[in-house]
Amino acid sequence: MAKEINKLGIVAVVVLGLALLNLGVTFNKISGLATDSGTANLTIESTVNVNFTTDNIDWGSGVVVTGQTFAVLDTKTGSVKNGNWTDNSAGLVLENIGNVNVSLDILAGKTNATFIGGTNPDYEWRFENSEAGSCLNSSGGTYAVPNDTFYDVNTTSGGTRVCGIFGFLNSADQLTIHFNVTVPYNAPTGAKGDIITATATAV
Amino acid sequence: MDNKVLVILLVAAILVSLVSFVITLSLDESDFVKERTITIIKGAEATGGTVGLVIEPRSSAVNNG
Repeated sequence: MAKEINKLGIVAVVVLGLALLNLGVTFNKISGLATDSGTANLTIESTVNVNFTTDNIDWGSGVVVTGQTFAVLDTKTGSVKNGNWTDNSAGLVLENIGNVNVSLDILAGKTNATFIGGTNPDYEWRFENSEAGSCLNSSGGTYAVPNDTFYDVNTTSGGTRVCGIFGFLNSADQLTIHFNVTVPYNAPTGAKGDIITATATAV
Repeated sequence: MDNKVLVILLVAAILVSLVSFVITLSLDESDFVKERTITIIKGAEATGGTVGLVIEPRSSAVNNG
């Protein structure tokens, strides 16, 4: 009987030891958490988004006037020379409506030949800040491309890197794309249309 | 109470205590702090503008000259 009690006593001491050890470890962990400092984190996500706030240039219907070999439609000057199309001076206006600076690539869908056709057609564009400082090169300097002259549109995949940095601040986030189109007298008649694609990538 | 029953109860208590001890040891801060991962998307977005006109047949030409 005494041996049985001794065995039970040993087992009881072991159980008590384990329970106490468990209790100690638990208190240690919980008290460590209770005194630990907490950190509140939030992340503001980047929104990459550009939008053509003026998304359509429509010169309407017209013809090269009799006696002339071509007409010139120019949104920079807002004029139509040697033709009776409707003037457009707005161009396309592109705005960075996201919350990060982006790089901006512009791509035309058609060349002068596929857009207008005929003999010596021209299809050109130029880029201007609608708001000063909107379009910068990748170093933060002025334009990545010439902004004082028209030059042929780019239909090569990827387009033309117009801005290394196209800003998002409301005071400097707008770019205007002007077009100069020369319509030869022998251009095929009918509706002519092209789509300009702007691609923005966060920088 | 029979001693065998007591032994069984004590052994069971040991096992329960051991399991509890292992569980306690395995706990760490991540079991108490819920983390949320937010992915920052730095993608690209494209949008389109259109340029259009209609070239009429020459027979409907106007002469501004």
